[in-house]
Amino acid sequence: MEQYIGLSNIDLFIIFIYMVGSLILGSYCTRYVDSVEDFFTAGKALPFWAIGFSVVTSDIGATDFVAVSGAAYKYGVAAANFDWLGSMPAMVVAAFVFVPYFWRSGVFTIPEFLGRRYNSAVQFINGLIWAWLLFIGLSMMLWITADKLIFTILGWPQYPVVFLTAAITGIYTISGGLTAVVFTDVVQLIVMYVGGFSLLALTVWEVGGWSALESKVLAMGPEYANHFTLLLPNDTSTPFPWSGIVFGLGIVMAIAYMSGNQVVVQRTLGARTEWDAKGGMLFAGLLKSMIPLMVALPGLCAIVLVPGLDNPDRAVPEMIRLLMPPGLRGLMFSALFAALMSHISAQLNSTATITITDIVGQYRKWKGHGPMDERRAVFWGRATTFIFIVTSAILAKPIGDQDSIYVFSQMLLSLFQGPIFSILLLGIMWPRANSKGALAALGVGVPFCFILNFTPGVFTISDPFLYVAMYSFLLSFVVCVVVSLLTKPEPEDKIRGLTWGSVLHSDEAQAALNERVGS
Amino acid sequence: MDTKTQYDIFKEYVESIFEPAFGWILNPIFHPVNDFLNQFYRPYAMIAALTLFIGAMLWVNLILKEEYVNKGRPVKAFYTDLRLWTIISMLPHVLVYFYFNR
Repeated sequence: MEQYIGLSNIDLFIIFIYMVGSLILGSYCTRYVDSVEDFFTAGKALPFWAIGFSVVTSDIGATDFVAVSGAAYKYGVAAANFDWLGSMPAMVVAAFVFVPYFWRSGVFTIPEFLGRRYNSAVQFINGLIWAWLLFIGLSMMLWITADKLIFTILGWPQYPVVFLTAAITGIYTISGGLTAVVFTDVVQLIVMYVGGFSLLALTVWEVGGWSALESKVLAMGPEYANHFTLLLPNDTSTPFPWSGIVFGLGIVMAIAYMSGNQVVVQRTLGARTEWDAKGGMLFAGLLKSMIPLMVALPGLCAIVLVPGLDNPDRAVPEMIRLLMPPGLRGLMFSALFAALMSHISAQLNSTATITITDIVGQYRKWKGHGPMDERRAVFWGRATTFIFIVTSAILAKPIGDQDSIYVFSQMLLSLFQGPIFSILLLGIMWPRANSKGALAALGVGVPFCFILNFTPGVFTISDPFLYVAMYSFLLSFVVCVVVSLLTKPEPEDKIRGLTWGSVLHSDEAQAALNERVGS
Repeated sequence: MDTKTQYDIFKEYVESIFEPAFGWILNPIFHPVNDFLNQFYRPYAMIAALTLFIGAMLWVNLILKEEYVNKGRPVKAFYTDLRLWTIISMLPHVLVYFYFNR
């Protein structure tokens, strides 16, 4: 088996045109940035379709093409649950429960919302956690894509790829802020779809069509019997038992991700109207439902075309090498670069927003300084973005080469997701929830997650992260309710306009909220 | 060749402490739950999954107020009705889960 895939001049030309085009489009958006609101929330001018494209693009990384395809090769279509059951219902809940409150309250970040609902300590701690996780994610994504994808497939050296991607993405994110990120995302998703669906069409054609694919895979042996089953039994040897998928993923992790992840939610905060914010989420769900077709199905086709791969993650590279002619290969690699760049720009912009709003902003408040003026805030927003992209590029190898740091960060994220979602949900849905209940929920829920995750033998499956999220959410929920009932409620003035009934039914509450935001 | 990462070493160390410390409390609680869940597969898995999709559609279309769902819409026309959008984005998923239920 050949180690590297060769690219022709036409492929390189297509990739070059794509990179330069992204840079020009992103930099063009600089003219729309005059204030801090323009930089962090696109001046609240984004239409629903741009939000939809951007939500999907910022969620898909270049490594997803390889990893999800590899998972489909190994486990079958059950790997697609994350983009189907793990997305659409959660996006509907996000669109109609969480997004309207975030959008109406005029916040730039989710920690800022939690700060208003509970207290400034909750905001600061949440801001620190998210800034750390996003920064680590930036370095990891840069290195993993350059090393495990581009170097492994093309043989290109890693550091030039890291710095080229960081430079192009950094330039347009620094100059154009969220507007540049969102509008380049639109083009990047189109490029991803063209590249991804070309690969899908070629692989399905080569196998002989859908029916032939099914019959050939199922004929390969009993270990492939469940490869066309989305909901697997509880005693499956895969990490995807149906109860974990439905309850752990569909009800807890997916809603926590779609409603509590700054990178996803920030696009809706820039919507021009509440309708665009909600519609953008629904449109994103529809676009996202097509992602498994281009990232998972080629993995299934690879079972027939290149059976017996030692490393399932080689499925997509082998398909590209075997089936894609010159020109289409350039398009496919442009799609992979598009996925990388959109992911990087989204994380970069969100990290800068959280740092300025929730960390620097809170620190200045505690020191007794007033808020920064517009010009200064935009300058520091850009400076922070610059510092983050340069630092993450320089530290890409030291951080990215340490699988431990990435795994540890992901593990931490999974530990916080259930408990944070419980306080976010109760914070909006139940006015009686208070800061003591929230702190108790975090104090009990996070250690419980840690214990559940690291006590072997509790669950029968090997990687029970779906169950851990589900049970930690339930426990944190109960703790928050009990402690809140046993302690004093928050003053009505403090939570007016931030909870379900008060925004939904009371114009007076909304007016009070607008006045508070304005001041 | 030993390819253990620092995380693997950390994990093994923590597990060696947690298993005797918490296994005796957690196992009697979660093993019966696991055994209970293991009894259920078809058609319950399908019903539970479809409940998420269909439940969300019904919630948006029948329980939420129309004025809340569509607040701020640019034109009052059927194609800007987010209740319809919800159905259109959900239905393909329902069909996919029916198709891959084998």
